[in-house]
Amino acid sequence: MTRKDIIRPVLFLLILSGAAPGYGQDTVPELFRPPVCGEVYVVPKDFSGKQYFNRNWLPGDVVLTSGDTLYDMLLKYNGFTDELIWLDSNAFRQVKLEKHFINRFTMKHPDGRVILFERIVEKQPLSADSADVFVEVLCDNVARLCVQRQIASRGVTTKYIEGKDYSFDDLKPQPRYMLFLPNHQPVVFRIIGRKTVLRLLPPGYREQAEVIIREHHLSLRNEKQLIQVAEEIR
Amino acid sequence: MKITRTITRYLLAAMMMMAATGALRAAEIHCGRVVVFTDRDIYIAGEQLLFTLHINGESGGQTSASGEIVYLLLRDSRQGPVAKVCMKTAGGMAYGSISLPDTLATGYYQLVAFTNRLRNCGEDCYFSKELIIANLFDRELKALSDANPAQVTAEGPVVDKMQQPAQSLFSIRGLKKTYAQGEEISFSLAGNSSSGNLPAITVSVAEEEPWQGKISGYNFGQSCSSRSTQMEFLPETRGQIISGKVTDKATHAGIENCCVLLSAKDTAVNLQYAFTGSNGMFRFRLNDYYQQKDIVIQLLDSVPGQKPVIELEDRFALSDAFVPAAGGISAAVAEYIRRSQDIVRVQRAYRQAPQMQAVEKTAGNNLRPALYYKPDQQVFPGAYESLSDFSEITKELLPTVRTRKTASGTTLEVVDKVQQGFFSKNAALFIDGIYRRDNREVLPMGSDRIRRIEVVNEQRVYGTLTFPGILAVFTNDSAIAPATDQSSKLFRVEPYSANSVQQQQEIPRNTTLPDFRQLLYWQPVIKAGQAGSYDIKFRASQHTGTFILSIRGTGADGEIIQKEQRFSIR
Repeated sequence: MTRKDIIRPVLFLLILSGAAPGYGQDTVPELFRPPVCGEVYVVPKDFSGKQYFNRNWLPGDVVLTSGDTLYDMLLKYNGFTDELIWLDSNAFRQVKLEKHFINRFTMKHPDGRVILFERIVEKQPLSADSADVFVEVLCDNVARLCVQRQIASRGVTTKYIEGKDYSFDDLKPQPRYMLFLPNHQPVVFRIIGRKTVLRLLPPGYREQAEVIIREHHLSLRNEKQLIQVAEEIR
Repeated sequence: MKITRTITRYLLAAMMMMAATGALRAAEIHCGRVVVFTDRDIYIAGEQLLFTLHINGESGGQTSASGEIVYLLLRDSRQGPVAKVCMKTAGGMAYGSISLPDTLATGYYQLVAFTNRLRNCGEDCYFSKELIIANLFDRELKALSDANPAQVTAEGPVVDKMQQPAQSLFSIRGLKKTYAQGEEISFSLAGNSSSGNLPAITVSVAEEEPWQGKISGYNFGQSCSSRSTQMEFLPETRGQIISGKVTDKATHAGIENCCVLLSAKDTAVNLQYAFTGSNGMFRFRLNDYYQQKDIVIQLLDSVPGQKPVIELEDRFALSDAFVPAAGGISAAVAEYIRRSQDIVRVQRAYRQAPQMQAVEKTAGNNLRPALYYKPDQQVFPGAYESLSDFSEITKELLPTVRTRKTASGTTLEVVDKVQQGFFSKNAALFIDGIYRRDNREVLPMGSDRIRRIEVVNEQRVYGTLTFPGILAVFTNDSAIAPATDQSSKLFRVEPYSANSVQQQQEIPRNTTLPDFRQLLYWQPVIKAGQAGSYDIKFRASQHTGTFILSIRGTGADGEIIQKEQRFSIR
């Protein structure tokens, strides 16, 4: 038996010992697992197009306002109603989770990406009211780029079913981007474009963005390039 | 062949390691430790007992960063509780006082401190300290001299386990050997720089007592640990954990898989639930929201063929009886007590009893376990024409609620806003935030009694429970109807005491007021920091004798730090 034969299993042991689950406090969160709160969700069918941000159920975690986390839930985000839907596979039902009890949630995409959504309070236009909305966090550096994955009706589609005409709302994604600058000033826009973004940015940040766009030869036409700009704003 | 041998070797190593770690980790639960420092060991009834408590975390070394709940019980030799204190630590410490009632009889008392985690290791691991409390009017002190002579030990009346080798973490500078009556005493505590970060300490200056209380339940070498395979009592770092049992009234056997509901009287609906285990046990974690609230625990459904009884565990109930270790007191102790009685009598005559000042409570999580955020309908019946009962209210003011008389009683149903029809089952009824299984209580209520009604017109999911709509009624008087059977319990959790300090008594020097303070200085927490120094200044009283400056605390490894220096006042 060589020295290698002894050292390798010992090293293996050491690595495993660090990974082995401990006993004690780890059992505590499981015992007092916070209850999921929401209402039984009945899928609305009078629409044409996709209501959901993600077509398939994605596994994810939900962080509640109490600070507790609900792990490994099958989730779908409904962009039309701005609600988070949970697939309760034990009871064979879908549950619309109470939005106000959720701080943020993540969904793990099959390609490995982790999509983070946060609940923010947004002031409503032309009124003193504010509303809670879920936004996807695209970049969280000095500047913060979020997008509200809104899905809205863009007209009506008429379908002829079993001898009758039925009209359905035609749903289309209408993302709304929110760039929170380092001075906490929000810049909100729907269309990604070099001119649009530069026009909306306040002086100082506009010049900074121009330099970033020039240095990286960006056309600023898609989300990826917008994230690149947001990441470098100081 | 060689590959197979290597794989086998690795697999064997992994299996051995898993077996070893599994066995080790499951076999030992570290319970941590609690230690309490009191300002003195002998008190007169009516005085304040000042204390500081320190806890050390599960590893036995690190103090818990998040606050843990510590229970402090003062009991007499007949096992009767004198005071129950519940405190939340911050940075592993808490401090306060126990106001000793005037009516306490002379005798030996025991101060017991523990955490829920310590309960896994048994009462032997609880911190306990024996104290003498004498009644102000008892000059004979017979209860002390007659106490249990069988317990007198050969080496003396008291074994003080805290007399461990003093640590040299702090040095005292500027303290003289003798002071005159009323003279200003000033000195400084300097940290030893080579010893790294210095722990928080308690500083007290009090007259030397000829008796020291016996301390037990504190192991200096290592923290307590249990050989149990399961942690029965969980650490209370995120709120108080209350536990209880659902048993059958006839057989006293635990009832399994019962859904137990907990809700507090409030102006908003709140609910927690738990299912009983195989032995009928259930547990709830209560955050700060439940402080000072009436809480009701009840069963969601009746148990067919059984009469369930809910029993709540008394956190302060101890199974080990307190048997005073001290067997009688010496003449010097009796003389000291009589002198203290005289001093307290004078202080009372001149209204010089020291006052306690509460320090701001540590912020905790007081989030309500809500069932819904916003109701679908909210009605204030008082704003309308007076209606005589709930049935009339539903007809006139609540179009989405109906009451129906059936053979089994009256049902309360709400409309399902999704299906556009009434639910076929009774809605979940809450009165003043408390779940009610029986709706008979709400039916006679008219507009004069009801302040607000909230209706949720949807199938509400709450964990594994589903409610066919919710009807929440909030009354004007907020009176909870008494429980009709033993399957419901009304209680309050022991509120956390805020940290408190004794206000420094400043008696001017050129005054005719008597000043016979025996405790000259008490500072429960001093954070000197690394190599920092802390200046202490106070005035000596007119009381003469030997005084002790005590510096006490616990180190990073849980060891007790104690340093004492004597001086006299003449």
